[in-house]
Amino acid sequence: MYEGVIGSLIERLGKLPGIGPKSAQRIAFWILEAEKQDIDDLANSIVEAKQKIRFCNVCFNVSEEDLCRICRDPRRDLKIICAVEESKDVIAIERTREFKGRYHVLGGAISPIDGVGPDDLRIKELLKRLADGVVVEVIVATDPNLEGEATATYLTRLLLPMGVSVSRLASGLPVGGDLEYADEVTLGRAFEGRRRIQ
Amino acid sequence: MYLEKLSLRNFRSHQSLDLSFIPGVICFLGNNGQGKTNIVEAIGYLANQESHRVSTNLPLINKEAKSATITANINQEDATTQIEIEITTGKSNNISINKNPITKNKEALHILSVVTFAPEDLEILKGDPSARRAFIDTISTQLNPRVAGIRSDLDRVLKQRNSLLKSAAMLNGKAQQTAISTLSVFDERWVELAAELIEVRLLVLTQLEPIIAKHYQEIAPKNQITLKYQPSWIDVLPPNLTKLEIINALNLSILDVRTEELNRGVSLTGPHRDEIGFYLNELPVKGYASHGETWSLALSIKLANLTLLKESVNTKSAPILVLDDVFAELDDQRREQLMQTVAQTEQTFITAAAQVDLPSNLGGKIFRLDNGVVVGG
Ligand SMILES: Nc1ncnc2c1ncn2[C@@H]1O[C@H](COP(=O)(O)OP(=O)(O)O)[C@@H](O)[C@H]1O
Ligand SMILES: [Mg+2]
Ligand SMILES: [Zn+2]
Repeated sequence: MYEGVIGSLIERLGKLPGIGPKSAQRIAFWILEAEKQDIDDLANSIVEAKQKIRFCNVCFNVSEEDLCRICRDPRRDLKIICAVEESKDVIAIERTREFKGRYHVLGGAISPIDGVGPDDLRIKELLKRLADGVVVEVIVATDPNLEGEATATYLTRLLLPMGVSVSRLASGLPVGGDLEYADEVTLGRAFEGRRRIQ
Repeated sequence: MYLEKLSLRNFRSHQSLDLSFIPGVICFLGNNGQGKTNIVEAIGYLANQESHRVSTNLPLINKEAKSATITANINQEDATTQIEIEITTGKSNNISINKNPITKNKEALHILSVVTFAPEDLEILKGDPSARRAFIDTISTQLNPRVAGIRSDLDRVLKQRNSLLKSAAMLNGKAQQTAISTLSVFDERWVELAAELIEVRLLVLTQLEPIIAKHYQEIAPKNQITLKYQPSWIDVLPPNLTKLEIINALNLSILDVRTEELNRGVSLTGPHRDEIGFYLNELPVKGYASHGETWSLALSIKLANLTLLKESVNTKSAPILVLDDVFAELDDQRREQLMQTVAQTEQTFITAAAQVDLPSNLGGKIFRLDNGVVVGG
């Protein structure tokens, strides 16, 4: 085990998603050997991103302003909302260019073992967006895994009585996986073939 | 099918072991604690992604190491497939087939099939209901790898469900209402998965029962073996239940136990609480059968397991047989029965303390272990 500064660097790197102890060590030694300027730039972008990036007031996507790029765009269809778990899912769906409406980032999925219940997600905020009757369809694009499906079922039960049409992405997405890992073509097809839930 | 090569790195006591095999009988001989079972345990793990001795990965990894690796070359109809499993704790194993990493570990279950007979199998008959559920689930998975997915999904829903029940128990008013409606969302998926698993178990039991009974009668004619599925979710199991009927029964059952589940904070009904009763001449085996009868039945169960796998359309060629420390426990008649099966099996791995424990007509290749290492072939 390493001690002192290098030890705590390895420990902190090891907390990053997808980075195990071995990779943390490798990255730490890469940092030690890299140009000082490169490392300053890296450290600055981390601090800057954390300071500047906020969440969109309407859809909770990451944004540098009160409204995100998508919510500001007048060409987007106000009648359709696509509900996703995370901001990274917005990026995945945008890549398909299939979807012209706006998003709603729920902030995760219902998962009791992680202490996440419906009240911890931005569900109330979604219901508020539906109040004026402009939105006619909500596409629930949560991950095709247990927690994503459960969240979708929960949302559907709330939304249907409000008179909006609710649809789920068509099957064909890799089951058990993350939406963000689906390739553009598969995700695009899933969007096109979405089925309405009665 | 047969193993051409086996390499272990940091698997239990074996930090580095490389062995080559040919078809036929392969014996590992040596005193207790030399690492014989560790070798055949690795072979079983390669096929089933679970050990016949422990239910967690930690004990499989050498105490000095962070992960263990099993690599094997499998010959099937003259084509060689290499499969490598890196066993870790805390996350899922890394598996490659012919050096290509795969993302769905279940896919590797199609490649190799291994049936292990070991003293631990007596637990199927003498142990808790969980041992019998594990037994039927393992065979079901061997026959149909899709079941591995159902089992892991079901484990996950069950964890979510139990966690909800625990927290709901401590809530009241609107918060408890939210928890209960969240519960009903997980219940929908849970019932579906539970019904799938139960349907498979019932089917496999019906297939197994006559084969086990037949093998038992080879040793003890006129004795009758019966297997009964005893569900936690319905009082009496009607014959030929359809999946829809199972779903309906499960739905009724969770409503029945809802209050008690909320009080106790655990799931009280479903496949994880079902029991499989083994009966010898109408008497329960557990608590009634003699030591010898229990061994005979355990042997019959394993022979039936092998027969069912051989007959299955999903497994292309005959499974590999592992006999861990069992010959010393069997009398001449049962040894003879087992030898007939060994003779019909392409490759059999056997462990024993000494050659005198093995049938004299066994033949095959012998590896000796001393001081924890293989010292000679
Ligand atoms: N994770 C492990 N790390 C190191 N040694 C282990 C590990 N697991 C088991 N062992 C050792 O392996 C030995 C048992 O090996 P085993 O194959 O069961 O023996 P046998 O030859 O009697 O079948 C014991 O000495 C035990 O301490
Ligand atoms: Mg042993
Ligand atoms: Zn926005």
